[in-house]
Amino acid sequence: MTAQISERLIFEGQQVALLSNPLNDYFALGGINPGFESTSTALWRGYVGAWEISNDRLYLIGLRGTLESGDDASLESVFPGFKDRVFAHWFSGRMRIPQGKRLEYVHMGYASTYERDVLLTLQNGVVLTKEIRLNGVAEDDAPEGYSIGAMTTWPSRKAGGEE
Amino acid sequence: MIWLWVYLVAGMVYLVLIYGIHLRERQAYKNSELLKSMRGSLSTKDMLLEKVIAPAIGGTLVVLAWPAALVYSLKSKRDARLETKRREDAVFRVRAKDLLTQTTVHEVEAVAHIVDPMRAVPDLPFGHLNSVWQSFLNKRPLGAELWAFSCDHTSVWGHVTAREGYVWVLGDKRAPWMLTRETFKDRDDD
Repeated sequence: MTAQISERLIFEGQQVALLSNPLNDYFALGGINPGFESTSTALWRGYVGAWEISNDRLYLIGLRGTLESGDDASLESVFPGFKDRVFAHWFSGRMRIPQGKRLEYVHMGYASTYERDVLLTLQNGVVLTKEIRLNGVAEDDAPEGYSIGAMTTWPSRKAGGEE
Repeated sequence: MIWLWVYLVAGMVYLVLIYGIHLRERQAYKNSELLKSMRGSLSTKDMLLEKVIAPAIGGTLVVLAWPAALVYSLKSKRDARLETKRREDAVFRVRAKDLLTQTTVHEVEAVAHIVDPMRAVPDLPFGHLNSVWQSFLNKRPLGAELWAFSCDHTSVWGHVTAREGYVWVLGDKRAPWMLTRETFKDRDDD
């Protein structure tokens, strides 16, 4: 396993890393998955979603990735007719936003830990609560913000000329 | 001394027994083209190792330590049975005790209507998941009743999720079902 590239979230006016995959829940509930191609061990899900919390509601406002067909993915690949914004009403649960310096790097999933986590609890796409979890104080030279250490990448099937 | 001979003879009987089982199981895959292509051709040294030395060492060990081999074999079979049961249990089914209330399509569609001030959701029951709902409706068994359900489910990986949804109920049969919510209970984020 490799540490995974985060989702992106506009939260309280800032772009931050989101260490949760709300679109996975959409697919788990039966939403049609167009089939994303993974070209990196750091992105097994094959896409990066751009999210926004606006008026305490979670929206998906962008989607980047490559489909198994070789075409570029967009919001309309998953939500036809919605090219700019999708209300994530299917999502209930907790979302994690890391803050501060890194305490410990773990080369798996979103397992690395940071000085603080903002934990948002949502129900049907609406933010119910926000809490801040303090995890500790990092060393002075610890890196700031979410990042991943290493990955293996390979060309997309389309670029490689395979069918 | 007689007990030593009894022990060794018992070991030899056990060896013959498991060799027979091995031969019978090997029939299932010995003509596999895939295995043949993976193995390629063996060198004389590899052939000697595979056909003579390894079986001789293995057979000797089984005869000398057959009780340990027997215990290991029984444990392996028990573990396989438990694993099969665990995987069967992990297949999601709606149980009678999971049923909450009987409802109607009309009632469900009334509460499943999603409103968004930015109009970022279809004006349909279950919003972006309307196609899932339509598919569920199309699979209604003749005469089945619609019920809401709620339960905890343990996946094959051991994760526990709280599940809610609707299911068609006809007599003792509770299927197909549709999930409307699935929330992990054993972790606070992804």
